Amino acid sequence: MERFRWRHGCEEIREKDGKKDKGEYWHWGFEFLTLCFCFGSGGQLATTPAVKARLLSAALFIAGGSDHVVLVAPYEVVEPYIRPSLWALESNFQAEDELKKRRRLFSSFSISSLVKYMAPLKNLETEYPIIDPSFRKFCASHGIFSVEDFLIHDLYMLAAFAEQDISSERLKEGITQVLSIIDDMHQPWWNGMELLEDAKRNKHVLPTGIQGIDLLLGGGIHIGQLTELVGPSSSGKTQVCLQTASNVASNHMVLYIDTSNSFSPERIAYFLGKIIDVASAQAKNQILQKVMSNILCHSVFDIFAMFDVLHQLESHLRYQDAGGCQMRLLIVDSISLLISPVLGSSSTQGRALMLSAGYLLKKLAHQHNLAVLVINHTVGGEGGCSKPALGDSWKSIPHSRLFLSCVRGSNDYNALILKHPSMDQPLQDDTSIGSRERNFIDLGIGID
Amino acid sequence: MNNSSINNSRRNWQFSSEEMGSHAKSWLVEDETAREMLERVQTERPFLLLPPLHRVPIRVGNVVELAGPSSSSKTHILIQAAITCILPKQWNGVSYGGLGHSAMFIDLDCRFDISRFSELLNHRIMEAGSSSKIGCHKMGSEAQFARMKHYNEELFASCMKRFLYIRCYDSSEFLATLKTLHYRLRKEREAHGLNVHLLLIDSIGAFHWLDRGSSSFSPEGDNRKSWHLQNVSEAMVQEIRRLLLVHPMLVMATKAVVLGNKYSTNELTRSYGKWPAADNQYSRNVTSTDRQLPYREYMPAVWQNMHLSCRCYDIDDDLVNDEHPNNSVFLLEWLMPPANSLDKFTVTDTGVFILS
Repeated sequence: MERFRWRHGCEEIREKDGKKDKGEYWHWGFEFLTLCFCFGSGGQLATTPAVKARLLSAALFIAGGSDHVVLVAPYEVVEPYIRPSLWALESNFQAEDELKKRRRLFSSFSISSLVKYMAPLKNLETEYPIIDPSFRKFCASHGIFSVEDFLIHDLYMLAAFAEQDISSERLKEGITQVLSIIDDMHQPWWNGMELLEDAKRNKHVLPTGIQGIDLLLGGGIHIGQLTELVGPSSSGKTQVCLQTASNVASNHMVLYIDTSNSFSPERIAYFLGKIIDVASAQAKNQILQKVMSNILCHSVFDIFAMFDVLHQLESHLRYQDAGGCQMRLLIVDSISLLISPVLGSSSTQGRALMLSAGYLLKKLAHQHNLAVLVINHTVGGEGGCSKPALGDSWKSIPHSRLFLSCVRGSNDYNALILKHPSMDQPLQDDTSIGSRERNFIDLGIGID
Repeated sequence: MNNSSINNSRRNWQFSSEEMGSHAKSWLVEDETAREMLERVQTERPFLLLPPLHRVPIRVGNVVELAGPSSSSKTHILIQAAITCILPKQWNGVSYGGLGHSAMFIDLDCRFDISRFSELLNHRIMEAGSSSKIGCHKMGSEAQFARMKHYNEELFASCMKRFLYIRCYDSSEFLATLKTLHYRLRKEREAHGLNVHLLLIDSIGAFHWLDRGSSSFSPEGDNRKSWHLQNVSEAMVQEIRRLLLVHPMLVMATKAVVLGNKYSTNELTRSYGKWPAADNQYSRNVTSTDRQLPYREYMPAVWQNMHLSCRCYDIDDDLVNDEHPNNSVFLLEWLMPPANSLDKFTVTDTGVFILS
C-alpha cells in the first residue's frame, strides 16, 4: 500500500460555549472512511465498526486518553487483518490459538456486517454480479460509494435518474438488489403471536433470592430486560448483586463485570452456604466449587474495556452450543463508574457513548436471552434529595429501576420501585423520594 | 413540409376547439356535490377519535407527535391506540369498537413488553365482552363459559397476528426498515390481505445523541453525504413522507423531552391557558409563558414542519379523581393545531379515560 501515506492531522473541535479543544489524529489518505481503530495501551488493538467506531474515536479526542492513538484508515488497509478473523469465526474455531490471538486483537462484533455494508461496493461484486463497474460508476456519480450510503440517499430519485440512463433496466435491477441487501440490515419483523411465544419460551424470570425484591419486581429480574439498581453508597446494591449471582449460578452461568473491585468470592460462598442443603461437608464443597465456576468475573476500569468484554461475549454467545449451561445473567457493577468520567468531559460524545452502551446491553439481553442487572449511584438533586446519576438521557434505557436505601440504625434495607413495565403510574424520581410511601418493602438480607 | 405541418396544427387546433366546446359544457357538470365528497372521504379515510387525542380529529395521512418527559404515559397511549386499531369493530355479536386493521410498531427505545401488551388486549376483550348483551345473560352453564373463553382466545389470536413489531438498535437499522417498508407492506397485503392503518414509532428522537456524536468526521469524495445528524433526519423524514403517499397510514410517534425546569411538576397544577409562541428555527425553545417550562426542541425543522403535535405531562395527583382513585392524572395539550384548553386523562388497564 505504498500509494497511501499516513498523514498527521490536527482537528480543532469547538465546544458549544466557545471552548476549543484540539484533537490529534492520524489520517490515512482519503476516501472510504469506514473503519476506525483505537490503539489501547500495551499495543492492543480494538476495532468497532460503523457509527460506534466514529463515536469512540471522537470520544478519545476529547477525553484525551494519553495512551490512545486513533488511526483512521480506509477499508483496504484493514482488510488483510479482518479476512482471516472472519474465516476463522465462520469455520467455528478450527485454529483455536490463532483465533484466540486474533480475538484478543479484534472484537468480532459484526465483522461480517462490516465487510458487507461499509466496504466499497466493489467488494459485493463477487457475490452479486449485478453490481458491476457500470452500476458502481452510476452510483459514484451520485455520491454513493458503499451500501451504507444508500441509506441516506433518496432511492426514488436514484431510480428516476436510472430511468434516464441508457442501461436503465440493469441499473434498476442493481438498485433492487441493493434494496434486498438493505433488507438484511435490519432486525426481522415479528407479529404479536410470535413475540408472545418467544416471551413464554425464552424470557423467564430469574428469582434473586431476596424475597422483598422478588415481590417488587414480579418474581425476579426478567430475562430480556435491563434492570437498574440505584442507591446511595452502602445501600446494599452490591450485596443484592452478589446474592442474585449466587442464586442464579446454581443453574446458569453468570458474567459479573466488576468496576470497583467489589466482587467478593467469600460473600458468594456465604450466600451459597445458606442455600445448599446437603449433609456432608465434602459434598457441599463439591457443589460449591461447581456453582462458583459458573460465575465469571471480569474487572474493567473504563468504558472501552467494557465494550470489549461485551463484544467478546456477543461473539461467544453467538457460537455457543444449545445444550449445557447457558449464560443467563449479566451484572455490571457499576455502570455509573464507567460512564460518569466520559459524561463529564463532553456533552455530546459522552452521552453518545452512554446510550451506545445501553443499547448494546439491551441487544444482548433480547437476542441472547440474558437478564441484565446494572448498578447506578445517586447524586444530589434539587432540594437536597438524591436522584439517580447519569441524567435524564439514561432514564429511558432501563426497563425497571429499583431504588435501594438503608434504614438508619438497623440492618434492614428498603427498596422502592421507580419504574417497571407493568407499572403505568410513574414515580417522580427527581422529587423527594421519601414522600412516596408506596411500594417499599424490607429486603431482609440481614447483612451481618 | 412546413406548410403542411402548420396546416395540420391549425386543423388540430380547430378540431380541438370544437371538442373543447362540447367538453367545456361537460366540465361544468358536477362530479359530485360537497356532501357526497365528504361522505366518500369519511368512509375511505375515517376520522379517528382516540382518547385522549379526541379533541383533534386525526385521520389516515396525519403524523402526530406526542412529546413529554419520561414516564408520562406516552407509550401507553400508543399501545392503546394499537389495541383499538387491531380489535375488530364487531365479532361474534359483541361490539369491540375497533378498526380491524393492522398496526405496525417500530420500537426504537427497545423497551416494549409483549406480556404487558397482551394483558391489556385481554382486558379490553373481557371488558367489551362483559359489557355486551351476551355477558348480561347469566353464565349458568359451564359450556357457555367455555365457549366464551374459546371465542375470546380466537379473537385474541387473530388480533395479535395483526400486530407487527420490529426493533431498531441504531439509525442505520431504522433507515433500512423505512426503506424496505414499502415492499413489506405490499407483501403483507398480498399474502394476508392485511391493511396497515397505523404506524407507531416509539421515541423518534432515540438515536439523536448517537447520530450527533458521530458527526465529527466527514468523508471526502465528490458529493458524498456524511453520516450526519442532519442527513440522517432528513432521510428519515423523506422516507416517511414518501411512504404516506403510497400507503396512507396514521403515524404516531413519541418523543422524550427533557424539561428545563426541575420544579416543573409543582408548577403545572397551577395554571392552564395560553399558548406558547413557537418560532421556526433548528432548535427552538418552546416556552409556555404561564408555566416557565422551557424544553429544548431537538428534532430538526423538517420533522417539526411535518406533524401535528401534542404534549403530555404527569402532574401531582392533588386533583381528586373519583372514578379511578389510584391512578395518576395526566395532562395533554395540543400544540399544533393549538387548542385553548388542556385535557385531563388517566390511564388504566382497560384504556385511557378522559376526566372533565
